[in-house]
Amino acid sequence: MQPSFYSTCQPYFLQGLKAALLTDRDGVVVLKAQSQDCHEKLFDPLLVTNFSISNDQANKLGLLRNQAIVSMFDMYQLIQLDQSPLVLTLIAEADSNTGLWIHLSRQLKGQTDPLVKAMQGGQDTVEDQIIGC
Amino acid sequence: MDTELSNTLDTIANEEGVQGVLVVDKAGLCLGVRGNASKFFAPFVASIASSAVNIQQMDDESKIEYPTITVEFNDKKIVVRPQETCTVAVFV
Repeated sequence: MQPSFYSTCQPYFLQGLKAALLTDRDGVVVLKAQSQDCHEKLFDPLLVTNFSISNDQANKLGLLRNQAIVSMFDMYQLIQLDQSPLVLTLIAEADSNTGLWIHLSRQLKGQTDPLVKAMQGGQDTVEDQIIGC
Repeated sequence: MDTELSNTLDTIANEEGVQGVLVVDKAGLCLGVRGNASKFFAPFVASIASSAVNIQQMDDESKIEYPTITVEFNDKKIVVRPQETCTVAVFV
């Protein structure tokens, strides 16, 4: 899945995409695609853990499940999708095409859905075993 | 606040030959859509517009020109007109 994840992101590096990450809620990287000029500081787990907290709060707004949060900063923009138990993060230049990243995030979500569903199935099995004890 | 934009979109969409209208901001996000235009076209329209604007000398930002771009298919045409703050795409 890593090669297809990278090949989907690669055409967008020239349009301002810096990195795309699929991580767990604590920021541990599962899949990664990064441009050649991407700074290593962008892979700080803090970006994902902050999103996890914000996402949990957003789920309490009474609008059902929060799907994504777009954050605009001076240096970069972040598009983060909740794919519980995983998080998809796109990091791009601040003045780049946000709509394009939302489109890309949907593409990557489709690619990573089988992995997410497999992990959800694994979680359910563990929980069933615990309840059965 | 968006009444004027909405009315303008309705006026354009009701013109003869117009099948759809799409207004996009500089971030590639849809501001308004009518007819057979889709909000999912928004980032691509913005990308086409910004690429076209960049094909000119940028010595003086106050003298930037905004070209009109036409995308022709076999059975339809899309006219893209970037402005300073947004881009309009008309589907004919």
